[in-house]
Amino acid sequence: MFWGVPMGQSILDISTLELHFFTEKGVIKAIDGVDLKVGEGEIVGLVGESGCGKSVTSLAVMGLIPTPPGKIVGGSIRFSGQEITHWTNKQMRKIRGKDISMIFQEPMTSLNPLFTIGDQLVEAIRVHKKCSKKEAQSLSLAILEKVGIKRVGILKQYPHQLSGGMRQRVMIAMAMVLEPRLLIADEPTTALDVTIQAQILDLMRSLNREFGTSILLITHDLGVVAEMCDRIVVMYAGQVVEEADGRKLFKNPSHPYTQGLLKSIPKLDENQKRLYSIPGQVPHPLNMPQGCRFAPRCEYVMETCWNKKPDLYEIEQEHLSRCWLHQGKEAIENGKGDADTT
Amino acid sequence: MLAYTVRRLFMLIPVLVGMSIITFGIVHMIPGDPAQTIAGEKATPQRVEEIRKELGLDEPLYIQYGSYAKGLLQGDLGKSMTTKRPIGEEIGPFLAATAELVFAAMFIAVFFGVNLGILSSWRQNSWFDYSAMMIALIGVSIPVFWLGLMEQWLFAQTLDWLPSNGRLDPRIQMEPITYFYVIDTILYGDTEVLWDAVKHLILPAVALATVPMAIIARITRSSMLEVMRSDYIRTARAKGLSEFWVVYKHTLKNASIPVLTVIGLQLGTLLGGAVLTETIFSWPGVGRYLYTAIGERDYTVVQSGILIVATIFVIINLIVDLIYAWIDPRIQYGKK
Ligand SMILES: Nc1ncnc2c1ncn2[C@@H]1O[C@H](COP(=O)(O)OP(=O)(O)OP(=O)(O)O)[C@@H](O)[C@H]1O
Ligand code: SF4
Ligand SMILES: [Mg+2]
Repeated sequence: MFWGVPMGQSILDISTLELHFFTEKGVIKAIDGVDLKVGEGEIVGLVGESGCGKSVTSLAVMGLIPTPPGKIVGGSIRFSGQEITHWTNKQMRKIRGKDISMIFQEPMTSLNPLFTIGDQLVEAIRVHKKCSKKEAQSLSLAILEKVGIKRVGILKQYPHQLSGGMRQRVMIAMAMVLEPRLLIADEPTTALDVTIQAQILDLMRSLNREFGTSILLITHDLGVVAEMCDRIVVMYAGQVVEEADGRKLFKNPSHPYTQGLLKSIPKLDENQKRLYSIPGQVPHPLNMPQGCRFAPRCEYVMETCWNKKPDLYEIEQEHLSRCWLHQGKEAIENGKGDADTT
Repeated sequence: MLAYTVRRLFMLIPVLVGMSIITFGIVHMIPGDPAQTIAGEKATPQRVEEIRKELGLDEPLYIQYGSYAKGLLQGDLGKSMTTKRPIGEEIGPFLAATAELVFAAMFIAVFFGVNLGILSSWRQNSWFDYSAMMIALIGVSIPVFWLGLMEQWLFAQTLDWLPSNGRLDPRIQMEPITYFYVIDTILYGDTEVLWDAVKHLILPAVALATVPMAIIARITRSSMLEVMRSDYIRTARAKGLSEFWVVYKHTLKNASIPVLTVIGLQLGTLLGGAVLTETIFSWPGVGRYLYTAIGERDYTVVQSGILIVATIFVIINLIVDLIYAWIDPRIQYGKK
């Protein structure tokens, strides 16, 4: 089954990706069925609890999974129509930082403490672009101004002289300076306080508009996703469990896990006695349930759920869910969901 | 950087004054009458008085220290009591011998230690890594004198590859220029004698270098591994930098900070080890010079010798600190 991406062609197309870590204790199936598309100019949110595989998914796109122990064992990653799953490090280097950029969760530690901001920006430019140091410096100043840093001598300063919010702006500047087609932001605001968070999100949105850069925004904060994203992908234990546009997902969450996530958002207007949280724990990566991975925590769990793996199923237009609840008897008996999704 | 250097140089002043007071005190810590002790039991009373005058021991303490300090500021380290020659002149060749030995050892320790550490971290958990770290572990625990004796037995006595004693073949006559024999032989352009000097240097330098080399290798490895896991290395890769740049620009510079600290600390061990090594290999260095002076109760030599060695130690540590601040900009802005 294939369905059109809202805004034109997809820049990133991950399908049924499987990625395992071969460790001494056993095989960790960190990614086991991730389908994800990011359209041209689109902002897609990837949400899920800690450890569900969000960072591993994004590092796989960048080709930055430590190998060994990690290895892609199935599925594909296409960037701008090209299959990049088995590209060598040398090939990946050509698009890293130029066509796909990434910013990370920890602005305090993501910049090298021993080099100046200018050095690190100029380096990012000159790996990909033939230009003089002077040109790279003026390019750096221009992009820094765009991300809201106008400060005398900034290029000569070291990371420790900047605040966390400033550093994240520098990271964004570094990621955006070559106007990449895709920006992956792995929890870019988690480490920052609320007002700075809003500023950084605003900044990303305006860069998205100005440069047309697609953004894959990773977070565990549904509030952030609701504001920013055209489409939302929910992950649980290494799989995508639901995908829909933001409005649909919030109005009509279909997967029991998504429902739980939405219920656990604190609401200011209601007089909640206790904050809701999904009962139970994320399954241990070495000991995944046979059937539906959410079964041990699901309040709607059925017989089938325990021994048959559900597939992603289109429950309404442009709304996918990985749950037996929404699939006909026939599908359940065949032990497979919509065959075309695999 | 300049301001930091100047500040650190100023901080050196109280340290140097303190050291001069302590070394000055050495003569006065001799129990009983120092003049009598120095002169020896059988000395005539006139001789004792002479020595007392000579050393200025009949003056009040602060005047004594004053003239001692004034001498030091003018570069006058006093005269040896046994040879009557200025200590500054006398100690020079011995200092050069020790410095040559310590430099050679330091070079071996840093060069092999750092590279072993990098290779081990690069090939983490390979057989190379395991055997290198095994050797390093053994290296750390070998006593210098034992290693020195084993080297002499194996490479000098049994295999007869290398000389076991001294700095040069005794049949060779050379008028030293800098007293660094390796440099002198190069200045004279005599490769044969240069080779002889190097051969004499190898065994003691290796004995002295082993422990620091092992420690430097282990620290380099663990420090490289730690930096490799850090977020900014991931950022560097995400920019599309090549692996070579990631390792040699971003990783090595960060990893070198703890390595440098260890090198600074090892210099102390090295100076201490040098005395032992000089004794085993009959190396005419400061250790030997002071050892002889102590035997002859030449207190002025002991006093100045210790002051010189301590000053060198302090200056080397200052240099290490300055390199440290030069690499890591956070230090200059720190609380210090
Ligand atoms: N180098 C590795 N070796 C072994 N397992 C790994 C490695 N890196 C990640 N994993 C496993 O992959 C799984 C997913 O981790 P990931 O970092 O993607 O989670 P996440 O969704 O980003 O969580 P968080 O919100 O905490 O960042 C984890 O269960 C982890 O055990
Ligand atoms: S498949 Fe079954 S266990 Fe899994 S989420 Fe749906 S109802 Fe719950
Ligand atoms: Mg993560």
